[in-house]
Amino acid sequence: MTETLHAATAARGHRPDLEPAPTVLQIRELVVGPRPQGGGAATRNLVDGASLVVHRGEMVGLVGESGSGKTLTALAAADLLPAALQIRGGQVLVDGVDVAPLGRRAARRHLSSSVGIIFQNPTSSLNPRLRIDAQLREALPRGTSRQQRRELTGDLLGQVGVPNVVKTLGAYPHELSGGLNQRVMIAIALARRPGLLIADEPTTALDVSVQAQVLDLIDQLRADLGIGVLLVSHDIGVIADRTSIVSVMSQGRIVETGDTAEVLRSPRHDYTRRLLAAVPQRLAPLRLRSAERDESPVHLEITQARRSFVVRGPAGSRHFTALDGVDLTLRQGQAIGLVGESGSGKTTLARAVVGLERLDSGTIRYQGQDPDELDRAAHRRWRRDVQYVFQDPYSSLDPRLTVQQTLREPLELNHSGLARATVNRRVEELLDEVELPGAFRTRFPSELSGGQRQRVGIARALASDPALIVADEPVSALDLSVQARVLALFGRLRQERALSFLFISHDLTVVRYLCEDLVVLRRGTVVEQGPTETVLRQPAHPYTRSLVDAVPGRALSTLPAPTDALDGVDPATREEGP
Amino acid sequence: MSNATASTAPAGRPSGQLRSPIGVRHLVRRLLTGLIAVWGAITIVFFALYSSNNPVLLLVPPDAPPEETARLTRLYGFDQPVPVQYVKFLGNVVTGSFPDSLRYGQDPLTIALQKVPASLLLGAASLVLGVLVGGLIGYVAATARYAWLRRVPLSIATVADAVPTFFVGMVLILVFAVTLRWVPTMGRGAGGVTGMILPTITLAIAFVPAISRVFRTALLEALRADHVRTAIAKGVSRPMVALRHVVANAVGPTLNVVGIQAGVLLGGAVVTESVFGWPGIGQLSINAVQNRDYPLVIVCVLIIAIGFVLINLVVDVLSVLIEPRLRA
Amino acid sequence: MSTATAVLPELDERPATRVRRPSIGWAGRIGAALLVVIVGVSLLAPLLAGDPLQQDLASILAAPSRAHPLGLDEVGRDVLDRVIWGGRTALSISLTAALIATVLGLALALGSALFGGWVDTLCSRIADVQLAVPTIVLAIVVLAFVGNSFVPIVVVLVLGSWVLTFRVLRGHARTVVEQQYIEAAIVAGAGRSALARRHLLPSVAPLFFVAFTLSASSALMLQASLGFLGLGVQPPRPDWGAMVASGRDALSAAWWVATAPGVAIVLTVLALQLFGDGLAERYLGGARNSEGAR
Repeated sequence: MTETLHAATAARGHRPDLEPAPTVLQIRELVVGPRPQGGGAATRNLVDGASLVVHRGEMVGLVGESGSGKTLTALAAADLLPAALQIRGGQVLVDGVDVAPLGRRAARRHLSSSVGIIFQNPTSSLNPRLRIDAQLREALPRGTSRQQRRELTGDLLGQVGVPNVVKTLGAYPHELSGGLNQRVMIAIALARRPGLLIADEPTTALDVSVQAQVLDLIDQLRADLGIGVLLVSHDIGVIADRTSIVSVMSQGRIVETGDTAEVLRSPRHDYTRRLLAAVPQRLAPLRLRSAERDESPVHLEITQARRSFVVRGPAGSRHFTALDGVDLTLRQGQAIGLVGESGSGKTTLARAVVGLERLDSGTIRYQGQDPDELDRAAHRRWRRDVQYVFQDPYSSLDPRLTVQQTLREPLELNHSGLARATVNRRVEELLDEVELPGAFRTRFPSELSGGQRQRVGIARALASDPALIVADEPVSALDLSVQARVLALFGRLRQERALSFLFISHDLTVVRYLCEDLVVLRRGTVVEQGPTETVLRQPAHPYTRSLVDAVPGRALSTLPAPTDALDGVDPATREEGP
Repeated sequence: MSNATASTAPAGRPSGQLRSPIGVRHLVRRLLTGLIAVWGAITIVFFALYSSNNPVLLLVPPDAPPEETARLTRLYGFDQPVPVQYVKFLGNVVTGSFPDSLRYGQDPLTIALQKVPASLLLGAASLVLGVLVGGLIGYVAATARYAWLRRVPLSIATVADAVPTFFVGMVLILVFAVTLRWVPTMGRGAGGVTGMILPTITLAIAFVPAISRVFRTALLEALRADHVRTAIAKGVSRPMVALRHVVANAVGPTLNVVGIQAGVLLGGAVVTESVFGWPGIGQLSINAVQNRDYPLVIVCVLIIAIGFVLINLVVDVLSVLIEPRLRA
Repeated sequence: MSTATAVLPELDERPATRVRRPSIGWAGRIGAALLVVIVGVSLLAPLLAGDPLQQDLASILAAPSRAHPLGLDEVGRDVLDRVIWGGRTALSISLTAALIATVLGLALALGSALFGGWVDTLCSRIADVQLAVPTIVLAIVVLAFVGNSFVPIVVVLVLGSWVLTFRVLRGHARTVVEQQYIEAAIVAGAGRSALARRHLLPSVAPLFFVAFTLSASSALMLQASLGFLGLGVQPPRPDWGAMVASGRDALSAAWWVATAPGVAIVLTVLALQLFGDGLAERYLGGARNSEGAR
């Protein structure tokens, strides 16, 4: 196992036996903090003594959760920190040259020819007002003649694997897909032939299959051009698959650096260990049902669901088919994972189940009945029974209401005339059930972290004692460790409450943990369904296979299971000091 | 910029001229909306007129004999039912045939059209001035290095926003014409180019605050945009980043506000012309109202409403040219 | 379940912070103070000022003196008295109009946001038409043919300023309606009225007050312009705009006659705008500055 990892690492350019390649980036004891404003210099540093080295031909990973300072470290290396921040200490050496003493203009000139950088959101990183052609020309070195520029732009696009070069040159960023724009960004980054490419979460905004292609491209350019790459990511899977050296960052410090395979196999730092334990690939799947129990009554039945939207533009409208005849059956107590890429229709289907979206045709029957045909009382019962957990923990809570007020809402709306004391007791119970302290009652959403907000959202869904919960990407906005805990909470709820679950996700590994069954959607149709293990091991449909193959973190699944069970599967019951 | 370079490109290269930048359907829809707006304005005038009972009473001298009133009522068709009058009225508007001006005894359209160039001149001059000054204040307020420079000019603009146009004009007259005697007190008739200075400044001040505020906001938004970081990273020089990636990107949103503010501009023009006796359509409309010269009032309102629609149409076309995302 | 474990902070999550609202700022406070003074003086006009119609024909256009701090006008009336009484006219008309206009704008905006579809389209089209007719032109036409008493003036001002409120509130209400917490409330069992009561109104309320102060300022400005053009309230009643117009002819001889009411207009409009901007800064992070900029 370890051998395979090592072999893979070696193929990615790092050869411990050979002379080390020249250094393209060296960061020494970097400290980044807010610019002092009017004397008060006591503010916390966001990067606090980070050091790392990137050699030519090497892909170095920088991994950490949000707020760890990884992106700021990368931006500082390219002298692109936001105006409110500044480098407070340490050195940044690019191609062996210390950047700081150069002065602003000289530093900029040096950096722009020796560092290329790409960002998380490729489409907004390009100027919406200019054609790709114009934006590429700007990136070419000074002194390039008109004639040369004309040829070079096309060559650059060809180099990054853009299929239709002429058409792409004449296009505006909003006319291209995210993946294509990221390729353009890479072309821009490489236009001045830098020795270093900094990639800051380059694929986070892209679908998994596109993500794999873009990462393949970066890896290939690294090998072909011999450039060093600093890959910044929150995704341990991506880091594990793509990098030879990794630095793990937490709270502004690099806590561990080493050979990627080594770090993953035997993490030395406690933080790394916890992070690895939270990787969904490594969570023991929750299996509450076996195949023969499929006799349970049908809870939800979707037949031939169709829905299309009219997308309006200034010059007319076009149709977009979100659902194109979807059938789906969910039995009592079953948890189905609904997976697919963006535009597959999974969210539309989920919304239709809870009545937030209408179908053009087809039916959705809950316990054998179409909610639209129910009388008032039965409709109210349905409304209580079927609950929804939203993706975005930030916009799904009213910023003006305290946690208590948010949780009271479903109680008051569904059981009018409930005594005040009863309502308050229920709120306490709900908070307890989602593992939030009772004192959080009086907090506003702005005073909660992302994971805490999502717990409040789950508590709100539980308030009406539902039988079916539809959850739309409920953990995709959360950091890895938080995600693991929220997943564990979902798992516990499944066990204790005997809920049926429709769990929508783009992330196969998350679904694998929580759901026994899997439905794969593509362009509004079901391409494959069945028990999770079967579908993932022997995907029948080529699309499913490509999805499974594209999931990053192959290297992770070959690692031994976490030794310390307390670290992993059930963080909810773990005791730990502050 | 990119268009110019693309047109010199050899065949097969993308060219700005290959694609129609503006959807025809888009243009037609905006034009229809504009026509509806003009119709709305005309309808309001009609019903305002009708609600004053028999409009003929406005036309004849108070001591006119009843037979004369009755004759004119029949002549102008005011004895017919309202819907019939309304349809006839709309028909007249469409064909451009209006009853003669009561005061001048001529075709009101001819009279009004003669006044249009003067108004255009004043409007264009103050638009140029206002956009320059407003743009400058907005730019300074968004980007100046010193806090006082970011705040003071914008604060002055904010205060100016609280001064009604007629009072701006009056104060300017008091200071520059009456006290300092730098310029003549009255408008164009009174002395060529110098007569234009005060009206132009007055009208410009009416929309400088809005332009500077919006331009500042748009600039701040453009400065925050991710693509500016890309431009800096790829080594574009600072002035070019500012011009090509920040200022140029902030023009679109600002232009939109100019369109929305067009009503303010026209209203300000009416007041300004009236304050300075500028012989334009605004002053004509005020005079027509004071003289109860209702055919002339209708024509004036019609022209002003059309002017508004045209301004917005131009803004629309320019926005689409500047903002490729608006194209289909 | 043990709550003890739950208190643990989640790994690497940023600590929760209490968010403090910015204050309305010094400019907002100046506006508020100025407004209190102006409204107070107008309310107390009968106590503070003499008869605004009393004439002293012997000393027409007299310069400011101890007896007449702002001098006398072209028919020998005390300018200060007329400015104070004029405040009553200006404030009563413009505040009434602003109140009606903002309530109307609020109702239509909420309707547009909650019902969407053709209701929204219709309201927006009416607003477009309204915008295509410069308010001052509309005012001129209506007041010239219908007459210029309190009610028609208020109607004209309402017509001219409801669109501002409508557009701003509709934009805001629509973004609120698109928020997931609205859908969460629907799933929790809320109907349209519950949505409006529990989520929409509280969210729109601060913006409503901002829109009210800004509408009041524009209504007051327009009311003054109408007075200046001779289309304001009937002549003997003191009116700031009309006072500026009549003082204009004597500008070179007695500049204070036209300037005093003009300054009163500017101060009142400025007070309303500063206060409104302050409110916007506090509750919305500067909504007025982004007006129209998408």
